[in-house]
Amino acid sequence: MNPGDADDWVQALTRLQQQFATALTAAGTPPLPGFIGADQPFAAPPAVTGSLPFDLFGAQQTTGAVWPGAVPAAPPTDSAEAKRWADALKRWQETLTALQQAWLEITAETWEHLRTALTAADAPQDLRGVYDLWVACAESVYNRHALSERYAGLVSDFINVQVDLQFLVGLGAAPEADPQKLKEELAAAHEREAALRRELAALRADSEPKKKPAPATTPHRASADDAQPKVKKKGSKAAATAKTGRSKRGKRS
Amino acid sequence: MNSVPDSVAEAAELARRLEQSLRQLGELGPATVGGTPRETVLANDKVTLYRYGDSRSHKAPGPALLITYALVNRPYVLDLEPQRSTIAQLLAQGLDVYLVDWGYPDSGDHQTTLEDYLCDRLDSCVDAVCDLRGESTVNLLGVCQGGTFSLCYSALFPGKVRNLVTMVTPVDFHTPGNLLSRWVQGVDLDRLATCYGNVPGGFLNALFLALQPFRLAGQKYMELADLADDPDRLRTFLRMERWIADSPDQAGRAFAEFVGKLFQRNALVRGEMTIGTVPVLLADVTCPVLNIYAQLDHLVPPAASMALANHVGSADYTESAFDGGHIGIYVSQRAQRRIPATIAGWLQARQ
Repeated sequence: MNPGDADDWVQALTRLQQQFATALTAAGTPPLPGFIGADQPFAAPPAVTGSLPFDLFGAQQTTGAVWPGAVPAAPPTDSAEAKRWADALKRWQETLTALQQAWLEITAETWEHLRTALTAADAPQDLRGVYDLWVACAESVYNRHALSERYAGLVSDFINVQVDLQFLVGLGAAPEADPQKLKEELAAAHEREAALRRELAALRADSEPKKKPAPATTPHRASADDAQPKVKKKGSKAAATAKTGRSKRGKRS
Repeated sequence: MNSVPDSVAEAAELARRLEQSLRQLGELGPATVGGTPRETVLANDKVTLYRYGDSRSHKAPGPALLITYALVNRPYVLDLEPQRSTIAQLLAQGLDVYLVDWGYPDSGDHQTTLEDYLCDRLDSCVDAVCDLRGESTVNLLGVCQGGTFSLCYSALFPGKVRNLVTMVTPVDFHTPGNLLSRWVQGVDLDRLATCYGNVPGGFLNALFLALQPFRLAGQKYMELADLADDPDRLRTFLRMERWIADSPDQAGRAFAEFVGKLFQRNALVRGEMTIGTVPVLLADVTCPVLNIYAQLDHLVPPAASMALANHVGSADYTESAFDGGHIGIYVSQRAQRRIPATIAGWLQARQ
């Protein structure tokens, strides 16, 4: 290693990571989830306002979007709400601890697999080869754990409890059930637009010489039976429109 | 294992090459994608239908192919760059290529349903292609989740689909080894969708990364060291990164419907799928079907796609295996050589 190179590998990796993030940002590419904060796995224990290690389920810091992984920063002040918050937070911590436990098991098992694999006659001798072998061992062990009912249940629980926490602090309030009025107005506007476009097309057709239709390649004509859609589209969409104000809409350009 | 001095030297060289790649990445500029000429055929507030090719190719168009991509990523992976463009290769095979771009759901999409996507948005696109070509049916190519959509559409509107091609399409969501399906079994989808309105795309990205965390969040970036001084490959890497991170939010209600009915209850192969209130039976898919799957697919296990053979109603069913993964089937050079030719050949034989 050259004398000037960093001997602190965490620092070196962090520097590479920052360079990478800068490069991606310069290219207009948002960093991937899990990349930000990847230099600090398990650095901070989960706290009331904490974020997850490795940030796999964490907040998308570049856009500010709220993710299921982001622990809301401000617990409620009302006592009943605070108790529900504390209960949910406890569940969150328990689930996270269980996931971390699973990851420790995966890590330990991976090292065992790697140690065995390295004794094989064709085991790699170079660092890069050993690293690739470690990845292969880790993915294999991880996949087996991740497919287990226990791990799958933890992932589901983890997502559910994140949602609970979001609700408890009033984030992600339920959207309006069905913005009927808005949908009806939009549908009416689209109908008006479609009528105007039809009118325009008719006027154009009257004022221009008739064009031949685009050539078709051996058009297949459906049989009479086939021609009947399983969904009675006009009727069903009419019904749907009556119910929700939606209509098939679009403009040809 | 090499000696310690050799290993230290190798590590230093690796770090040097990584730094070099990263510096070059930063100098490449914006990761532009696409490039195949296209025109907008239809556009409304959410969905856009593109027709690819130029006026020359439109003068004598071959069979039409309408591509339906997934909601969870952007469809430009099919036209990533000139050397990796499934769409350009399909055009080169003489097909008249159309693509449905679902756009980015916004706050007006919280209540958008699968019925809206299929019976309104996709159906509008099918009608537009039919109108433009003076035909009554289309050839559909459904990719990934778009393949599942295409299957449902073909079952609902059998008179509108002449031929159906499905690519890396999940049909049986409960095959062994389907991590995503296992993980979401206990998720309260209604609460999730109600909480967020639209489910954040970044959340799905995190789940996808978590399928192979060591490979996707570590090893892939270590391989950057191999790309030093190769600006073309670095640019491809950057484009792929852009595509992977570019995940639209998912319309909440449609997401809950899709994951609940398919990932949790496996409704399609159980014959319990509905769109709106209408049953969707794979047995009603009677048009010719070409089902292409990837043998190393970590997102849609091959068995999940191959299950279609046991349920589809078509008497003309063909399967094609690609020796690669879920992403490789879009962008690898091998796929570029093989997949479009396979699709075009199969379609030409059925026109």
